[in-house]
Amino acid sequence: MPNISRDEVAHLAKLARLAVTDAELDTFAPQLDVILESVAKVGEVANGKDDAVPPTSHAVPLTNVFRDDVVRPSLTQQEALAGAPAAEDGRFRVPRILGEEPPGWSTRPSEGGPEARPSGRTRKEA
Amino acid sequence: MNSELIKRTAAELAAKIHTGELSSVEVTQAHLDRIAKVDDQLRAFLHVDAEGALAAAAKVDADIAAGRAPSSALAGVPLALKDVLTTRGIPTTCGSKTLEGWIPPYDATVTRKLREAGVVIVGKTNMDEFAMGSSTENSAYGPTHNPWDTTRIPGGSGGGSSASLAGFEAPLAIGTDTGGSIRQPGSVTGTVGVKPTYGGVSRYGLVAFSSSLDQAGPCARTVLDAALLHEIIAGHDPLDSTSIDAPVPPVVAAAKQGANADLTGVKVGVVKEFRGEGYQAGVLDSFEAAVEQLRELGAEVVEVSCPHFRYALPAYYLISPSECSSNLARFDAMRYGLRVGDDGTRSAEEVMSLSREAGFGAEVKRRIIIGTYALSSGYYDAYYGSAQQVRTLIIRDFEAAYQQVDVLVSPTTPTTAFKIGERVDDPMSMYLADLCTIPANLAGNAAMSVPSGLSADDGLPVGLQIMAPALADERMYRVAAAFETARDAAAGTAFLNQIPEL
Repeated sequence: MPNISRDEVAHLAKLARLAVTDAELDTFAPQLDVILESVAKVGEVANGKDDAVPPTSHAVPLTNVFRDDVVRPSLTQQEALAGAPAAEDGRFRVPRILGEEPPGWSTRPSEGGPEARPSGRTRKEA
Repeated sequence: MNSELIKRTAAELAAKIHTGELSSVEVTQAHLDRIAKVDDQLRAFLHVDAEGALAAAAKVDADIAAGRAPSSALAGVPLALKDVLTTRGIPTTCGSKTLEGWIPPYDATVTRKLREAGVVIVGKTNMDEFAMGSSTENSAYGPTHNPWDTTRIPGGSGGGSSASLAGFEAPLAIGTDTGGSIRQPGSVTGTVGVKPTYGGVSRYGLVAFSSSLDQAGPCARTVLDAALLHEIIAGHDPLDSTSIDAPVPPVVAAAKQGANADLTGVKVGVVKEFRGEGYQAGVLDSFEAAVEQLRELGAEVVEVSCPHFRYALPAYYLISPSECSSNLARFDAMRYGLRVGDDGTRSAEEVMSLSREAGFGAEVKRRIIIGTYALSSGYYDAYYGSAQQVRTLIIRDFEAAYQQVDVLVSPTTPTTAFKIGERVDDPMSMYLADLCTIPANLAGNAAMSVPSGLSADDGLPVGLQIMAPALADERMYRVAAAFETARDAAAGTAFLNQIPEL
């Protein structure tokens, strides 16, 4: 029983907006299975829940760092747009974002499969 | 003449430039000539900025001719900059197709500090794509070759920077170290690589891979040169919220003190867990000899156990892909980078997916998928949450160790440079190259690699890793400088003089 199936890898790739090929799925699925098998060793000393060992997200124990709310130099509009794949009227030109059924969101695997964590974004269910 | 210039240390070059004995322009030109001569073999550089370098050099020369004080201890000395740090007006690709041709509109803080210090940036060095890898084979622009043996890898991700040093294309370089990407390349090329304390060097303009681990640092051929460069790039930066607001550790003074080759009163801990199975015999022999050398220099050496270090590698390969999957979401084909498939019919989602597919290489995709998985709701506790706890356990191991000793030592990486192609199809074997370097990233400590010698079994360089507590970077510089002095005295020559001619 592998840690991760080819279908799960395909689903994760869709969540991550990677239009992977069938050949890549054939290669990645067994490789990721080996990697997950190995990283699962963290479970020998931690379970992600035990209060006795607090999680460390960052080596430097900082919370928030604020600066004074004053205007400071920044990029010009022209500089900000300089690297854009397409720009129009001083703005980033993007492909259409409305009237679509997002690819992948209607082909989710069976229950128990990985899902993205709630992002606060409305999803269309199949 | 030129071959003499390119083999000098940065400190020697700076001294001669500052007294007017040499010009920065001639020193810079000598390195540009060397790059033109050998970089077809090494492929250390993705971009060479001859014009910008010579202009920066001329400015330093003009300052000195006018009697103005040089702007830093390294003013006028050439440097190779890893292509993950942004450079205004100069391409920055991160070794990725997705950023091919991107010209950043701003300088990273490290870049700005180098320019202000009069350090001459000769070009941008090759790297594993977005710094994910241990060999530079994950660069979209092809691998860099190790100057000791061009059929072998120069380490990674900063293999371009390490190869530029060992190939005498530059006396100074900048790397970035998320899991060992400065130290492991240093180890396999016989050069010095330093990961400063996390937060010691600004990450502003360092294209993020794993933000809680990424740290830029100095690379050089000697410990003193690394220390001089460290003091130029380090320091608090309001543009990086994780930058530490504390004085830069006195690393130059420590390197000079260490050069006296006396470690009396220094306690060195040998990490018990980083030996044994999986380590090349020649690496272990060189390491044992280095430890013996430290003892002869007066250090007190004890064995220290850090039982959770064996969980550092698995924790790292959960934390760094998780952060990477989030950080690389910025490459959405909308504001910068590659866009494909925008034919007027496809949606933004489709264009995004096609562009990311075309722009990212296999290792980046693998890590994004692993990270997406580890952060998924059903797996979060078991993977990402557990890895964060392991991080705490590793910090506790370090704290306990530093109660007993001043610095910890281990081999930098379990083997010498492997052959190009040898591990590309086996990601786990590639990951093992970072086995010994990862704990310092997870804890945020300072750590460095200094050449310990040549492996008896293959004649290739071996690195000694020295780790110090956070913000005590100077401790490891002192130990490294003392070791370097003794090593070169025993060999009768500087370490890199043993490298075969290209």
